[in-house]
Amino acid sequence: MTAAAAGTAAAALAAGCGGQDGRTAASDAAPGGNGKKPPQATTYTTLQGLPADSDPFGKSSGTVVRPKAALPVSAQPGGTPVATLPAEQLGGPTWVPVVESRPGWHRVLLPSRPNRVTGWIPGTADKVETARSSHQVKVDLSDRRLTLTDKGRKAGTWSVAIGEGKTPTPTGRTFLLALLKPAKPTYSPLILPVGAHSETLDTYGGGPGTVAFHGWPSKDVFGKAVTHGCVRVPPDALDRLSKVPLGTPVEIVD
Amino acid sequence: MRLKHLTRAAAVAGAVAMPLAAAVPAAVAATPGAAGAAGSAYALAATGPVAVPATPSVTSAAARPERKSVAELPANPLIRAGVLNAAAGAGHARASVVDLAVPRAKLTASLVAAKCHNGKGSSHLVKVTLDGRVIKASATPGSTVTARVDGLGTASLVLNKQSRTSDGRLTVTAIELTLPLPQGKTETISIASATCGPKGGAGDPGDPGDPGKPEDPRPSPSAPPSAPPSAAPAPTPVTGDLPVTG
Repeated sequence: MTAAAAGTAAAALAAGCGGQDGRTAASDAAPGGNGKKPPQATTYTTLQGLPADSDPFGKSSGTVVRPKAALPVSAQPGGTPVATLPAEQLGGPTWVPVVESRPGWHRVLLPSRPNRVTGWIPGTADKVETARSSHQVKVDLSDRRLTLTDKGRKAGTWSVAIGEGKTPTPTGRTFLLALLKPAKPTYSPLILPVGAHSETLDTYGGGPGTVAFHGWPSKDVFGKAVTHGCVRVPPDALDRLSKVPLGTPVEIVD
Repeated sequence: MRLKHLTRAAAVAGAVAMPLAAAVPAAVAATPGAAGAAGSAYALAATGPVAVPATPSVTSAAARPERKSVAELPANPLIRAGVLNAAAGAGHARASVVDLAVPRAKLTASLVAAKCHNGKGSSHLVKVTLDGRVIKASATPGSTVTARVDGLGTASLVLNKQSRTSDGRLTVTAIELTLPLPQGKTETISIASATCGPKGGAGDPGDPGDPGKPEDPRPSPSAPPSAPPSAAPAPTPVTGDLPVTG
């Protein structure tokens, strides 16, 4: 055992999110950092030296990719790696949406801070599994509605609760990051974290301020701006969203 | 028995381990500009319902290889391993796993090792058995062995798997095990994987003085032609919680 291994363990602990230890270690410990290794691109980290999404309200291609193993992330195709995209996020497979491609490379949205951060990863079939999500999730903050489309057609639309004035739901395009089922549900049977974070809360409840879709015990919140950034959705919406592939683009507009 | 295996593993890693005693700072000497010549290696990684990150994982472009060893895998229900080694430097990488067992696949191994040097790769197996059958020590690149897994289908081993990375380096994986699991799921376990390119050769990204310069993107020569992407899978809920911004 080396100092590097100890460092990895410390990093996994520092990420502590109230999740299960094994799962945290699995998702955060991938390349065994020694302090000089690039940071992991997860919901817990802040990445530097990577480009922001150049078209945050643009149309998404629907192409999603899953790294078969941890992949280097760089600012240009083949550039110096400045982060690592692990094969897992929050205990499930990593799926990220592609926003730009060059032969052998994909530029993808990343689940880390700052919001809208992107990076280039290898795109060949030996490195990533490529698939297509026919779905799209749109949240319109102005009328507080969430709309799910499939193959370009409306699959459902619901009145939802969004972030209040001091803790707004951040805008731009992001993606479905994970589907979590709390062992002891409090306010929702399922939690669907997305790639974005609160711009006003650095942490929340001990977590990294990740924005998510989830249910809520009382329906009087729907249609109101009352949350800390998350989007609370009715049970039917939660059920539909839970079947949408990870990596599916989520568009949040004012 | 175990001691003997450990000794053997030490011998396999020995060529790397010996000069390393005094060489740890050399790893720091890796410059961004030399990253294309970097070697990388990991002893074991698994993807699928049971995900094991690359353990241990080393990437280095230093002249003297950087080495990591760990005595155990992250807790998981599928794979047991004794010692896991990985070492990498410029144009060189090697990885090995000692005392491996994947009971569900009826796979056991005293030693699984892969080596990559100057863009050429090889693998070495000691006492590897799949469902009681002994797998020979040196395998033709890409040869496949299969075994029935009770009630679930067929497990397959690809031996000495050699592929090109997107930047033209070679990856040799001593064993890639594909294992069917309940509910139609599949687990892929890569055992002893080493990646390297020629020293200072192909894949070197630009001038050391200009680390930000984009490399000419080179698709992998061996990558299969891209088929139209399939539909992305519906997610499986993961038991767990994350404090989100309620």
